[in-house]
Amino acid sequence: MENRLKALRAERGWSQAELAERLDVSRQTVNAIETGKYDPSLPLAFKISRLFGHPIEAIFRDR
Amino acid sequence: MPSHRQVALITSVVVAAVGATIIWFGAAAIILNIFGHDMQAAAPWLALSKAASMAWVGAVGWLITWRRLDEMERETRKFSWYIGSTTAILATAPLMLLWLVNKGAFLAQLLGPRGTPGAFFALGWIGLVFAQLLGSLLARAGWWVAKR
Repeated sequence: MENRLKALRAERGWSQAELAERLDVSRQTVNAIETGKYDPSLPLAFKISRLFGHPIEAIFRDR
Repeated sequence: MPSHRQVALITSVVVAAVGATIIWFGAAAIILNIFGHDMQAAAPWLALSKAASMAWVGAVGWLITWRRLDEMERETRKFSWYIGSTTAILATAPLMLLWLVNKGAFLAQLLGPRGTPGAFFALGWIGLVFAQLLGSLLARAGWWVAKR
């Protein structure tokens, strides 16, 4: 699955660690999601969606 | 500065270590007070107190810490235990059977006079648990290399 997490994070000037803190996950998890090596669960995807103020489908896209 | 998640994990480790120490040494103090210095009578109870302290570490390590892991870390643990541990059980099964060739002569020779049925059982159990831990660690390392 592709996602715009890195771009959205960069827009806000957050580091991976800062985003991880806001999402209550580890920095490694944020990195794995950004690089497409890990697909978040639906609850985490909703959390990301709420944090950035975009619908899930605007952040995540099926390859 | 550590995040609140890291602080929570460190706290779990401290709770596990301090709790285990209190159980182990606290129970030992009580047992030795009851049995005086009759070590032969106290030995099984001391062994039980060690097992209880290890059980505490296990409970804290696997239950309390689990709640503080994020979803990817949980996935990592599930994967490593399912794949690594299962592989270890399957891989060590022939080895265990091999050890029993000639009615366990190899084991009897290895343990000598200490080769009681209890010692055989303990060796088998420890061997299996060690293999599972090793398999789990290898699987976990593989997971992190792939997902990092």
